[in-house]
Amino acid sequence: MSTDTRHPITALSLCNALGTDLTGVSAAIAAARSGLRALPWSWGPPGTHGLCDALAPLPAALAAHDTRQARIAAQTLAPIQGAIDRANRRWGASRVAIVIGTSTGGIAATEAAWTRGAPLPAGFDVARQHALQATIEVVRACSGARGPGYAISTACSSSAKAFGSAARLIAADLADAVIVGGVDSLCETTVRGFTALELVAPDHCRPFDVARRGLSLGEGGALALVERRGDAATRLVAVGESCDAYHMSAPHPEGDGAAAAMRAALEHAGLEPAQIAFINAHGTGTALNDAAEAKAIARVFGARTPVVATKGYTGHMLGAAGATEVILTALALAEGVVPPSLGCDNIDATLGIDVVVQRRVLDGDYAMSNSFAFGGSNAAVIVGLA
Amino acid sequence: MIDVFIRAAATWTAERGAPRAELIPAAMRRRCSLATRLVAEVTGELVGAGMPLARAAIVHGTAFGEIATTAELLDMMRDGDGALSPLRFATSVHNTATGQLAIAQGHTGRSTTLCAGEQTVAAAWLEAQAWLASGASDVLLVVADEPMPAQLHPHHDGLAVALWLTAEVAPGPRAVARWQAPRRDVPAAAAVPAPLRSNPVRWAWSIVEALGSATCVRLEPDDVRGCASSLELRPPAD
Repeated sequence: MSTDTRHPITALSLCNALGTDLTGVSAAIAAARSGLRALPWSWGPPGTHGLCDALAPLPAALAAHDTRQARIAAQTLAPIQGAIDRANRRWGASRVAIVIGTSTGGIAATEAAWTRGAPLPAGFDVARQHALQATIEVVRACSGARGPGYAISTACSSSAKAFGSAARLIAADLADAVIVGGVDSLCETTVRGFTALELVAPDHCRPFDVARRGLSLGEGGALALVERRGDAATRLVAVGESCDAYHMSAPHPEGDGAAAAMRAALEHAGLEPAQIAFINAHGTGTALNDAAEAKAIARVFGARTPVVATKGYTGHMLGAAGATEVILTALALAEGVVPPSLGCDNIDATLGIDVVVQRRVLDGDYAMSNSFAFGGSNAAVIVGLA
Repeated sequence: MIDVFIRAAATWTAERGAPRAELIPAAMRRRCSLATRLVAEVTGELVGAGMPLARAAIVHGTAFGEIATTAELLDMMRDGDGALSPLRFATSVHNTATGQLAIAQGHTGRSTTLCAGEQTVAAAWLEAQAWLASGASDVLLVVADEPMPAQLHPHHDGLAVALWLTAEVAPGPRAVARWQAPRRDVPAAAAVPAPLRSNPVRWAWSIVEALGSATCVRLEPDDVRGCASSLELRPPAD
């Protein structure tokens, strides 16, 4: 099942290790510059990860919500506030919804406050800092949007699936515009967790490379405004969703669930695989993920559709990865240029897909972005030129 | 707004004792958290009532998700070298319950997990309604929040509620529901019992309670800012 929408994406914003706004992020991608760097921490073995720089403080009225997560959310929101103001006026603020994917929420604040068996310090507020809803509250307060608001939390597919929810809210007449995207902040839990799963690369991630040895982590925000009608360069066309029903932390080895999500998106967009100009893969750089995803892509698309992985720029932003990659896909489609898959120097020939390793000019109307997650939660998002 | 038919409902509260969660095989269930077993328990009741789980879209609402597992991980980080259990980490995500249920039952359809604090049930209702409006034949709406770990506040009892929802008229619905502007001439639903008053998904308890009413009942989520909407339940013959 999926949702065919074709609602215009009227505003876009990114904040991650490449830059704190769209201009900075786009410049880094145009220069094929990675945001990954070695971080001086004791949470795990050496590796390179993508951390946001220079986040602005929150407005004083949001002091009780002050976490790194909240700052990333506010920073990402600020550049598109003008577009949101217009949407609030056009549709009425109660018709502007908020759907944001996140997996970490503000758990970094809980980590800082936590001592085994001891009471948490005064000033720590589980609802306003730890809970995923806190991110929604910050976006609601800053944006003025007053429609329904919720966080989608299906691990690394969270913010791709948020686009599906946004499209359905508009289609069901529960909203006319949706602030949609993802926000996640790097924290001890995820670094130690992926280290425990032996999934962290010792140097940097190399998606689809023959020598890939794991993922690099990242953090940031990605927000878009999707409206019932409006002028835009790109549209949200369809979202396909599926579940592996296989394993909590490993993909189905044949990519069954991933293929089902891609097929569902194509079916409900009414598109043939050949109409997809390129695929922005989930492409984490772990041995199993990339192999399963390549099998799924080859099954649905054959060997010719170009595939790019952008996690070599930003790191794996987990709950924010899906939305970041949907937006990067929309930007590349609008520009007609696909960036190289940073970190992939020697394509793993056994994968049987066409990995983009040098900047490539493309002509096409549609592109797909894949996101897969713990719990076998899969989403494929199709964006198209307006 | 479309009418939504509530075909069946199930509720778990602490007084019912440990959930059996029989949809998950015993070997797997032993490693499952209470939050996951609660979801499996109430879902199992609806399967027993005839809900076609394989074709149902699953909308799972939870404000705090796997909060007990999260607290365990936080303790591990503060002990010794701070290493985490990979199994605990992989089952700390908010979609753990639906992921485990999908593995146990071979559910390959769409499934989502959402969180909206005190508004989690209302958000799950809207997501479910949007799925139905976009063509899903059956939706399993399941909300659950397990008790809070001792260090976190406020404390509350665990609660899980599952609703089998359809958009098509079918024989024997428990109630017909419509999300709309509150009508003050319709009586409000009963308040929740004290041990559940700070459970973020308590509003679902009120929905199930109202199913037995012979008249129209108005359910206003505690704090859905800006929506100015309520859920109105009426008996199927109304």
